[in-house]
Amino acid sequence: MKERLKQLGSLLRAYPAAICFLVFITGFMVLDMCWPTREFSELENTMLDQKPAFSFQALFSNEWTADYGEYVKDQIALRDSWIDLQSRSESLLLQKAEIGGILIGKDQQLFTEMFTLTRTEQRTLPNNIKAVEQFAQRHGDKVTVLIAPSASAIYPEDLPFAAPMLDEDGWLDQTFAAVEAAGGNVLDLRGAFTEHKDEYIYYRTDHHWTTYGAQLAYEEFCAQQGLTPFDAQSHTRVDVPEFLGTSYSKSRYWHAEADVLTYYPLDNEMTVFDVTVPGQRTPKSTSGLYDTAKLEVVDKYAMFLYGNNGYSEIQGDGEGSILLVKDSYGNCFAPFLTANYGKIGVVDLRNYPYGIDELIESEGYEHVLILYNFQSFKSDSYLYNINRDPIE
Amino acid sequence: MVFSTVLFLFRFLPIALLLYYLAPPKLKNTVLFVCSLVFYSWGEVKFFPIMVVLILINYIAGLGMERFDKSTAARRGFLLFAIIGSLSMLVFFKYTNFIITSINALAGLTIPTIEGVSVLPLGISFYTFQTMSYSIDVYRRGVPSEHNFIDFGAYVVMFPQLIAGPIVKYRDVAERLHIYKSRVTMDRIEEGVALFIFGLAKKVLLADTISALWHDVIGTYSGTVETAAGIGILNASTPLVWLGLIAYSFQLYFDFSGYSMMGIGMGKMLGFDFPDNFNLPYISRSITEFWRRWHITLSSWFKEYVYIPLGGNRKGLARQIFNIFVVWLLTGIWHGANWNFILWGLYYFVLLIIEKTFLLKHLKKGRVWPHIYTLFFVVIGWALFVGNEPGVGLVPLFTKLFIPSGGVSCLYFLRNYAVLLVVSGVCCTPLPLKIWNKIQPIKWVRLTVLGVLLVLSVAYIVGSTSSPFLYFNF
Repeated sequence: MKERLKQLGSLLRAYPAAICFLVFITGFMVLDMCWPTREFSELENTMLDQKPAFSFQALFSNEWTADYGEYVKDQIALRDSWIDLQSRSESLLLQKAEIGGILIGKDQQLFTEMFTLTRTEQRTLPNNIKAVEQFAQRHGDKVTVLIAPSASAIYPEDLPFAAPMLDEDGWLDQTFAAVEAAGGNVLDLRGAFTEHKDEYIYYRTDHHWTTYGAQLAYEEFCAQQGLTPFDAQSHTRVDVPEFLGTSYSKSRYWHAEADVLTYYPLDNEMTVFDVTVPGQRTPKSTSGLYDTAKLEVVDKYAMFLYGNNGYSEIQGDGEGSILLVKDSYGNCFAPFLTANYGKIGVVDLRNYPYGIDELIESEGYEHVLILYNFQSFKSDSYLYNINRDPIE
Repeated sequence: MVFSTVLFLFRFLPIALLLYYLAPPKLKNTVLFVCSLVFYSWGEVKFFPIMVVLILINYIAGLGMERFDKSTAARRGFLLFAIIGSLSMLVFFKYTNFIITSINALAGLTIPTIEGVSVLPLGISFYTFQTMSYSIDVYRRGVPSEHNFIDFGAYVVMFPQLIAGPIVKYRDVAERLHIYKSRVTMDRIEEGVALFIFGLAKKVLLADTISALWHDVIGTYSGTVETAAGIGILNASTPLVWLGLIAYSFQLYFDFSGYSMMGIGMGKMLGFDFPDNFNLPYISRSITEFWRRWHITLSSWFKEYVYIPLGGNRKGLARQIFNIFVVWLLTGIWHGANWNFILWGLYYFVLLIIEKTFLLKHLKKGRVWPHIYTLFFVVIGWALFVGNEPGVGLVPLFTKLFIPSGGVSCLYFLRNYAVLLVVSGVCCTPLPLKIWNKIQPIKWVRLTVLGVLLVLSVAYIVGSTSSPFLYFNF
């Protein structure tokens, strides 16, 4: 035994790279095979591949081997640390200004890289402009279209050096002009946001606006509609620290500064509906506006409105009714509307593919607010549903 | 299976090496053969029989040539059988649809293309060349035929060089293939590990990262479907397109030479000495020299099995030029079933003839300009090479390159990739090797350098969406 050890020692001294390499790949393999598997990577905010079930059919169609490779990669031991190391190397060694599609701006502000429209977006964006235009043509003054600008459009000076961002301003101008010409109202926030740019309008680590950003937008909406805005002073405000959002998940930027998520606890009730057939809505669940369980996870923004449900109704404290057609930017915006309306309908067209004219008519909505941010407005392939005839 | 994956590094490689090292000497080739077949079949299970048939054809041809040693006709017959067997597989999988679409385009026909050959059997361009080298060498009596089917199979499908070369001639490894007992040596493993890690780092840390710049320009595609938007050749300014093309040139070199290095390194770990495949091609001072340094085993294959049998330079200048033409036409076609590769091959034919007839002697006198001249034409060559990829297109690419025009500026990209561009440039020179040779005798330094590179490479493999080998479909 002693002889053996001695032999190994001299081998290690003579051939250190060979011995270390073989021990490393074999040892790490064993560790990796014992490592527990995860369903979900919280830091990356993504589902991880699980071990594929073996079948000869899957083997001969090459699916099993491919899936197995993905599974081994996704479930690798110390995965979070490996990714952290890669991200650090990108910014510290290679001095990159962009990591995983995220631009690292001044003061740890993370921006979504948007240099150009994808081929799909080159079709989707004009289609979506057309969709809201047609909707405004039918409903006229009843409609307000709010396309929230991206953080990069408000803080261009904080972007990395010479970042060639696409012309978001041009597209917003074009959208608003089309809606106005069709007789709808528009809410262009660029002025208000630029005026308040020293304040906390956008999350640093997430692509969404902050609750304060949503509040600014809401106040603009109230001014336009002649409403008295929600009185934040008379409400309790809860600040939740340690929020790391989607931009962080994509870049895993080592120097990211966690955000603070704010919400105003309200006792208004929200009913989520099951909609399987157009025109038939059956209540599925009733709850408050906030899923506070989500405050425990990394991606805390998911706490607003319990995510993106197809159709839900919120009981408000005011009068009249409004239908909010929104993307996830609308989730932290909707609670403010409870101050002004008696009933707030919330539609997410990604999960409500039936057209909404019928809904407006049967539920008697007096006003419609279409609220998207530019990033999803340019790529959302469900927005055309807004004009869909449910009988089709 | 691709080398730069978790599956290969932390499953296949340790298991294959352990089995191979622990196997009794007589069984080593069997282990190598079986492991390599698993490696080969992993990506496309249904191509397994193709490999077996190919091995059988050449194995039988070799035995046949030996058995009918006296009959030239029989030996010719077996050689033809082997070459037609190997080539027909290559042509069928790689070129059928290209030939059909070309005929359709030329003759205005609509012959349907064949389904199911859109994916090539892994490494077919490489191993068919290897089997041909065997049969031709046996025919020429340059090497005795292989009697052991397993040993021969292990040579053909050996996993380190299967995907991307180097193209190893049978006679290069025949000797070591039959040393069973002391084939594996610690010296070789030590050297092989270093080569493997450097190759891996070249592929993962340099090729894949610098390729992001090129993809920022043209977009990222899975097949022909765009998965991430690029600036677009037409929207980019001329300097940005040049920068992108330079990034692509870096990527191609690091990718291919990195893979070859990993192959050679693993060959050493298994006890084999494969020939070198790259020797700092970007420091060449002429195109002639470039092709002595780039993909050396392919050039030497064509030289030995095409150029010299055609007469080489022994039958007058006109015949020599024709022979060179044939070699470069074939080199172009070998790289891919498309007109742009043929164009690329002929482009080098023209350049090499120009150098041969008068330019070479001037190049030898110059100091700086021959480097600039060579790099310029090599990069333009890569533009031809990449011209048929989705998002590129030869006409827009060359228009942008040579007719200065505005568009998205290159400044952001210069800044974002500054460190990588500098490191890539340095890694194309002899400097890193010089430094390595200085420091590697100090054991802890050697160990630290290799360890850091390996750990960083694994981090990049885990962290990035995997990008396959550029020469994968060759």
